Amino acid sequence: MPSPDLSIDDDLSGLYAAHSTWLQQWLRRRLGDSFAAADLAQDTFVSLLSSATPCEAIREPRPFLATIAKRLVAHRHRRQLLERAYLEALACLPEALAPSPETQLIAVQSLQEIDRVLDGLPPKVREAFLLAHLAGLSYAEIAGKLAVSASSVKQYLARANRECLFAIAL
Amino acid sequence: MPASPTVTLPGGRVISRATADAAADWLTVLMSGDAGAEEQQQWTAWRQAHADHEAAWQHIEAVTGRMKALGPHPAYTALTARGTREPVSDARRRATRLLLWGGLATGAGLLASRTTAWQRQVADYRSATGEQRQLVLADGTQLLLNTGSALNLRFDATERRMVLVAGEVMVTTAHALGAPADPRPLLVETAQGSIRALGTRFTVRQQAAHTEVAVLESAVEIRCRDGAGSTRLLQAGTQTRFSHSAIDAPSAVDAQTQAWTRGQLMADAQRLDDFLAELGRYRPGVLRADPQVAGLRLSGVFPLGDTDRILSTLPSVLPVQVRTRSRYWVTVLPAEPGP
Repeated sequence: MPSPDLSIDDDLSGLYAAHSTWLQQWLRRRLGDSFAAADLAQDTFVSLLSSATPCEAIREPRPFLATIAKRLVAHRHRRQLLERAYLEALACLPEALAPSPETQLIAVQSLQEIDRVLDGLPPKVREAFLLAHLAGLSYAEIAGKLAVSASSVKQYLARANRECLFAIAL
Repeated sequence: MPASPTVTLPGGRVISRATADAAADWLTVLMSGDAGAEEQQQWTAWRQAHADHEAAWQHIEAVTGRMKALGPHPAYTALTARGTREPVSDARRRATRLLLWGGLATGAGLLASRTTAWQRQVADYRSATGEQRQLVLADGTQLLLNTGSALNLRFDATERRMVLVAGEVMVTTAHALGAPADPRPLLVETAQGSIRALGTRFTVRQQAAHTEVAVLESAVEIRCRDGAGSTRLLQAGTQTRFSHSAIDAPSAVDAQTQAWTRGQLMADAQRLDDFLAELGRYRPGVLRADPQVAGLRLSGVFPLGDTDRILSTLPSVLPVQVRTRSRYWVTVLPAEPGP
């Protein structure tokens, strides 16, 4: 008797054979970049593999794949915005203070990770966390910047610290 | 979403969610600056009460230390930048709203550029930075998209409309290629107005606040978005630029603005900062000139296929050096004084 894992893999490879070319073309049309399209098509199947969705439960594979792929495109876009914002901020620094390319690469990865764990928090909670941990401001200074009371700042940080400090992989 | 009852630390140690929360709360209290001696003693006692407590605290010290080490300014600026912090669904909603209010939004540079970034992302046809894409449409029209461009097609029974969301495009109509004419008019729309093809080959570039058009064959008709009277026929061999309400007087097509269609970048006694701004369209990242050398002028024809090579030839034609901190961050500086 085949193990359940094997049958899922079989379904997935069927899905892959039937739709991967289509998905790649669909992504290429959106991104205008065939390398990125190939990468994201691959990522789409990987994310399907690691999700709990059984392949036989997918009635309309193409819209389903497109939904996953759209999410991945959005993530990629967001990552690029973040990287660009960081590089632009670096470009404003005096050259002597600039980190080495290796440090920059690690920094961009760390920023993505911070961005990921803060996703979904209310804007002020997020901002309070960044001002406290990255900019090193005191609660009073943060309260001034956000135009809220110091006790609100403490509440924001209590929430952000609980939700983020153990979710983050730095 | 209910939190899971345990937390696994990077080293593999599993602690309870309650311990993790307690450690996070201690940080919140200690950072507030109003923790007195008594609280500090309680904190020390808490850490000593259980090995898990101490492990949780060490984790917090490590994570917050690494965040601080990112350097306050660039890291904070990047993460707080509005474009990166919104969930995508909000960004989409906002972009849609801005599209509806497009005319009003153009005044606010930041909002407008964010909208463009979004429109670019979802356009029918896009070219990546540094990429040129050749396309043939169903009606036989040939398009060449220059670097970082985005275009939407709005073909229907009465017209063939293309919307240039960003960047630059060369349009060669099927008619110009000798095919029978499609009776529907062919239009390229930009933020400032539209260009109607009259059996022709032409280029259109969307700049920040105006549109540039150059006609290589036949003619086009330009129509500004506002101002009913602002139309002009532009003949082969001429180029012009227009805003949403006015069209400049045409001038002869210069080789420089058309060089890209042959995969070249051309400079004719061009300022170095202008040259780098143009070159920067073809590569990702930051490319800038030190103010001391920004005004130097250079001439030449460069192949666009390898922008790194163009940069590496600069010191042989100008008294400059190119400092590359990473592929994404290049500065052109005055040359070191010789020995």
